[in-house]
Amino acid sequence: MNVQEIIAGLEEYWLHQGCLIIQPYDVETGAGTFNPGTFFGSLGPDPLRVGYVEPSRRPPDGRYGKNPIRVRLHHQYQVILKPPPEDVQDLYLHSLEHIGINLADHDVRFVDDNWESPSLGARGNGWEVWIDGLEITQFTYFQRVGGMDLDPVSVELAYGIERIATFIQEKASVYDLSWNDDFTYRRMFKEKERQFSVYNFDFADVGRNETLFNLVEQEADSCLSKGLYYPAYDMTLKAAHYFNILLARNAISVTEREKYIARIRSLAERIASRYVEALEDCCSEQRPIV
Amino acid sequence: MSKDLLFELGTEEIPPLYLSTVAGQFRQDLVTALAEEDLSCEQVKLFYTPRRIALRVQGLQEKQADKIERHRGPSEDIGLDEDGDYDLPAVKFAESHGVPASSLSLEDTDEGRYFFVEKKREGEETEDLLPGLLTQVVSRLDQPEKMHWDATGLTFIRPVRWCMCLYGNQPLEFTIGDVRSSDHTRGHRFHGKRSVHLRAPENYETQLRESFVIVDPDEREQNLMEQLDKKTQELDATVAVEESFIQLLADSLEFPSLIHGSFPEKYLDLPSELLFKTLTEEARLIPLVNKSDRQPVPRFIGFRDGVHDESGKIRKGYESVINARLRDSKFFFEHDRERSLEDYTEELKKVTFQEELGSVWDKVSRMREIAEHLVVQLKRSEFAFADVGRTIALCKADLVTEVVDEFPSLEGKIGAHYAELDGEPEEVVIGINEHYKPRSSTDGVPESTVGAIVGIVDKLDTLIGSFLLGEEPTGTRDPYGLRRKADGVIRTVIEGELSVNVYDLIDFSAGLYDLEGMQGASTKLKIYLKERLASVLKRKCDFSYDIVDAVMARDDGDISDTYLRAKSLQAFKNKPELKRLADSFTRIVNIARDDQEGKFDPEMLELQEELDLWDKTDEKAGEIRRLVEDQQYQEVIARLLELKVPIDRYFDNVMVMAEEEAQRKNRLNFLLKLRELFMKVGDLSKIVTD
Repeated sequence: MNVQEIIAGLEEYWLHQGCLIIQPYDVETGAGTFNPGTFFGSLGPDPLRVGYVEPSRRPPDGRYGKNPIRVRLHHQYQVILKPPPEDVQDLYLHSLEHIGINLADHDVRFVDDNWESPSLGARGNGWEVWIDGLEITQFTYFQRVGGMDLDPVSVELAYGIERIATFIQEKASVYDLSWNDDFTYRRMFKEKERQFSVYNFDFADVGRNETLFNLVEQEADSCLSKGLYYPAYDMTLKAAHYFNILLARNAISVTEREKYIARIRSLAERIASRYVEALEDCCSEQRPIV
Repeated sequence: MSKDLLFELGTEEIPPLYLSTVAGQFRQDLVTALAEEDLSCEQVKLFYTPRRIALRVQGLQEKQADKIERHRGPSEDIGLDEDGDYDLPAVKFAESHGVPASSLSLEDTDEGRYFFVEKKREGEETEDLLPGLLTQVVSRLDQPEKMHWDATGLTFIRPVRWCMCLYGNQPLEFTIGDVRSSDHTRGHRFHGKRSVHLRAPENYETQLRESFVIVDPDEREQNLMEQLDKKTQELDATVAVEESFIQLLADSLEFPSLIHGSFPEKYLDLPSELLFKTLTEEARLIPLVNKSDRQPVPRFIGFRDGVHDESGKIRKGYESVINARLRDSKFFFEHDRERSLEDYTEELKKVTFQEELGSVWDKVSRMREIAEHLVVQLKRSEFAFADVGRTIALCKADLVTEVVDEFPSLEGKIGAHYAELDGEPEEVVIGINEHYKPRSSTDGVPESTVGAIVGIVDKLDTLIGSFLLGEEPTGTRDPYGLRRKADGVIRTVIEGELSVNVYDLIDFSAGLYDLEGMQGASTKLKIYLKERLASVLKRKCDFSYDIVDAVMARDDGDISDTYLRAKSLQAFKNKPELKRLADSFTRIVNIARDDQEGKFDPEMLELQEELDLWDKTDEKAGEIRRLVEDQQYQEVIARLLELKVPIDRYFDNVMVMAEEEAQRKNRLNFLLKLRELFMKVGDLSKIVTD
């Protein structure tokens, strides 16, 4: 099964489970959690299921295209189930069977791992799902997002597409993966990994990236003062991205790091409370959901 | 009449680290709840796996015994009128209990005669009580990481998904959260039956075993150990993990089956700490060493949750995962070794120790100053500071290495390894590794003097800094592990027989922080250390509490000295001498409590017994002072015992509280001098003798 079949298989499975299938977000994100489908999707009171692919950029994880499993940009398949159904674990496991994994032949384990995103003010209880020792999914019951306790809570499933594909295709390196039957991951991503690693680690202008961070932070702040929480959220995502570049560039000390995270979190928390307030003033048919 | 109860709570995977504690608490809470309902039982058996916690209560009484309830009403005076008829209060009291006034009885109490009503309360059926009792135990169970998963508001460590309850052979039906109880449980997630109908409580283990779940934790661990032993014997190898790791494995599986694989030999070149950590932390695999030379071998053992891996697919999967992880570890290690350990120290300026307390670099500078101050106290002229200084300079450098970034628990261990590769002196290598000890409450303290000194100054600096920030530990909260650090300092001083004054070190360390509230923080820390010292002496050193109270009365921060005084007293525990000594001391302090004006003047002594005691005291005092100086407390006690007879004669014949004020004051001042001499050992009046 090639990578695009795996993605299509997951999408098909979750579509039939009643998910609203949305698209990857067109602003840089570090994980599927940052897509508005999860951030806003998990906050409101209405039942909701969402599924989407999210290309996730993590500049510090880049390895110039030389490491067989670590990459700067990987793909997640992200699912939000609000509220989680009683058989949510089974539902998840069936999705693996749907993409051709015979579970009884493998060692499938739920290894406890409580997830936290300090910059989104989010945390939850859950597990890493391991298959024969390989982590393929983060399975989390969100308890808090944007600094707000959730009611109802959501389950977030974040599948690591590359991990699952290396497992299914029995490849030791992501670059050997077949994305479709004609093209490998190498042809699609190796040069990108190299160029972006050079940029992120060696070349990105620290001063300009700091300036960009400050600018989008101010922009987010002024959007918030006008109640424009969606544009404010885009600016917050950009701030998080510039922060990640500065991290990769090794331009941030541990102390400063905490301060940057606190600045991003403060925006995320204000956006979350603005959104929740706005929902209270809306009748249910009019509420923006993602 | 009695029946067996079986109650099983089915959950999503509970973290193995907490499983046995949560299950044990559950058992204890249920036993308490049954006792509160006056329900007796013969035996309570606990079962658990990551997906279930279950209890079988054998011989649980079927019905509560009937009870007589007594209620007190008005007094006789108020309840009866002058003619001896029931007055309104008595009538109302009887009415409120639904009985005629004539059935009230009058009884004598300490407060006079009162009306009483006795009512028989019929015992309830156990099966009517159980639903409420069980739901309450579940919903109130104290546990870490409580979470929400549905709208019912029930919280638990992980979501509760089913509940099985049988009393006798009948299902008991009730609801916990949104789960309805039944007589059905679930087998192993991938190999067992989706739904298992349990026929009787005693069938629990066997029926689940048929569905590939070993519910008894002891049996599961034993089963795992047998597989492990058999394999290691076959390989002529030994496992290189602590028992707690094996325990954790047993608590994360419902049906352990051994898998065994290998990795490329080139990874044996990695430091063994790093090799082992990669296997255990990244894939929960057990590293192995040769039985003969205890060198690592390129093999591992793991356990899958399920039946035996016939096809070898699982082994292959684990091998490929661990291969990739080891390649990463090798990369980190080689990258770290491009520079010497010393080269990393500069980067400590960029690492925050704690907000407001500066960087780790700043901490290291303070540690150096405290250590210089400490070494002066040690009175070990032959001791060179160079190794301590070098150890302090290097001990935190590994915090900025890739390996510690990936495996934080290797701090100190990997630094020591790098120092060794750099050709640092052996004392420094050992010191870097040891200064973090004790790493857990069961870990030992540093054995080398360098490790002990650096360990003490590191921990004291953290303690005083945290107290300055108001983060002192409370009974329930100790997020920075400060209690372990405080106990670590105390145990290191005692076991290393170091003569250092900890209170003096605290004042000195606090002075290195340029922060407000220094004075208050160091006072608080001294009080805290005092509490911890008393606790360590009782719990770790096994001194009886009265001896600890006695020596703590003279605690001045010299921990070793306090320990030695306790040890000397303990040697006399339950011997008649100690009682005699305590008696003498008590006679003295009963009279001579408060400080008096003026000084003792031997010229004023009149009576023979006074003069005898003074001669004897004067004769011994110098010797006792010398012995105290040398901390020969058993000898001190022996000298004090020689004063016993003259002291008794003195009290039998001398009137201390003399009429004449000057004489009275002089005698009291004499006794105060004596008290001072005894106090060199401690407040002996605290000692309990029988």
